[in-house]
Amino acid sequence: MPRNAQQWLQPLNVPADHFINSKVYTDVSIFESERKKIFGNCWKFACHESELEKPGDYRTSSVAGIPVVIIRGADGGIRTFLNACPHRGASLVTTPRGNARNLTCFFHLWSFNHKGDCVSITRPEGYQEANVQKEACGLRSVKTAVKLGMVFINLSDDAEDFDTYVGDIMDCLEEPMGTKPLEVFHYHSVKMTANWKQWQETNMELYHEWGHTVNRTTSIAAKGYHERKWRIHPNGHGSLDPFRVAYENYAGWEARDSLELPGLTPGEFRVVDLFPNTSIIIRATSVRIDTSTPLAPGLMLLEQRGLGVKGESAFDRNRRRNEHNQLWGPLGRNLPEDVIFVEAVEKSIRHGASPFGLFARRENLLAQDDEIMRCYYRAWSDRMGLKASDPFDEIPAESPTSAHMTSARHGNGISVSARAS
Amino acid sequence: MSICNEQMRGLIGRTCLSLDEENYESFLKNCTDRFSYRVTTYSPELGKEMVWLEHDRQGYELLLKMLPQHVRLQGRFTRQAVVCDVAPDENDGATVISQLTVVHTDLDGESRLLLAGRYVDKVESGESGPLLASREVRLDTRVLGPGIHMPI
Repeated sequence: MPRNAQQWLQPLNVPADHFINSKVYTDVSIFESERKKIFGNCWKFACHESELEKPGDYRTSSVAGIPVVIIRGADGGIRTFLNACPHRGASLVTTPRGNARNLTCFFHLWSFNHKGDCVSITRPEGYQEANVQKEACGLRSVKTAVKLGMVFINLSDDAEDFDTYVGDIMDCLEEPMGTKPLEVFHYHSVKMTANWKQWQETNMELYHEWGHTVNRTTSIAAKGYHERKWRIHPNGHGSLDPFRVAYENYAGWEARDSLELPGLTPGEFRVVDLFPNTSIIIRATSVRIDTSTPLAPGLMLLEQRGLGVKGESAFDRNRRRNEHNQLWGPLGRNLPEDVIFVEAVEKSIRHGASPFGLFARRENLLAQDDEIMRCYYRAWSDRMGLKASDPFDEIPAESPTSAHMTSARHGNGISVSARAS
Repeated sequence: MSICNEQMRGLIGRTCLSLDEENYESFLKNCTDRFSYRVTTYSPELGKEMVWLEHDRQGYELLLKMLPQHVRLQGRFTRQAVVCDVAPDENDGATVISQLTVVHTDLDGESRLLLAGRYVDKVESGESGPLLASREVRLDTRVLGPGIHMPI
């Protein structure tokens, strides 16, 4: 039956980690806190190493508004620095990619080598009295890790190392992404009227696949869809058991029974979601990597890359690219629909019309179980020091839901540290 | 049959009007049996050319057939194509380049520029006039909002 205004503002009588308060998407103070407590400390995907092929190749990116430049040095190493000159703060590089022997600021021509050392200050004698020396004027370095060709960065000097952070959750990518060199052939971005977490939810909450024509016909209707399980890492990451997608179920499409990436069977689908905002999705012949940049509580930038095998024939590349484009990219049959879904949610939560989102599906970790979402928000809550269900402690103590609050954090009986049996 | 520039302009204009009306049957009547369609752009981020969509006539027709099944950006898309260059070929056809803008008008009546780019059309001479043999939509705009399921 319909609910009145007071009832609408009460969550359903479910454990507290089974719903999310919409203020986690809309509140400005939470957004600012996320920039420090999450994006200031977590590993974030920045680019793929194929975008930095030669010594001196650089690529720009950002972490929650902090601009960075990733560069391959003469020694082959990949390093990251804030894209800010230590002199007056001007951007060191102003194009998304390029090649530079040294990074020279275009404002006053201070220059830095690939290791971040300041190697030249224009007319240095002017700084003698103040004792400013180039040795003290190096760039701000950013922790960098390369895993299976993917470059991850972390703004914190004290961050745990990347392998510890992700554990074994990326093991399923080692064969398809670590056997042959891959390269990025597709890049596009979407400025979305949505909170950055909503996009990550879209890549984890597979219940929404019912909304996609393509996913209904090629995945949900295919054998084994509901038999695979999520593996969940306590840091908020997850991966899903492999599965064969029946692409041939969609009118005009063919089965993906050739050109599979190494270690994959025809049509095989794999996905890894990394906290806080990276997803790696493999659909037999190509890889998609998503990452997002929060711009404001209700505004985000999605970057989507498509990867294939480096050095393959034009014939193979065309086929791989076309299969990538069938679902993904701005004209694909899947990704634009996700943007429309996510923006539709944002429209109702923006001014509080929808106070809660429900993540209460429990299917023993099968594909459409929401445990991956609950784990994600447990990790979010741990880092933020806030309850995702009630960040400002507004739910009255007499609420039926409040009975669940104390036992909510791990109250569903499912271990999050390992695959459930 | 030799075709004049005025006929070329008429063809490009008719294809735009048909697509605006989502009258794909009418659009396809202006295309050859071997019609092909590509959407391309250049990525400054990668330093590479990209193909975002590519279909032969059969694939294009299947894409159109499935459109009603999909969740889509609602409203109307209006194409403004200004023919800028007509380069005749040896077979009484031509390559026609048009500057393109597409305006999206949502269900509330608010219009915004969706994209800028070009049509690069190969036109062939048919029995009753010029026909589109291929269309490349060459995009300058790479941030397309939610994206688009309709042919541009």
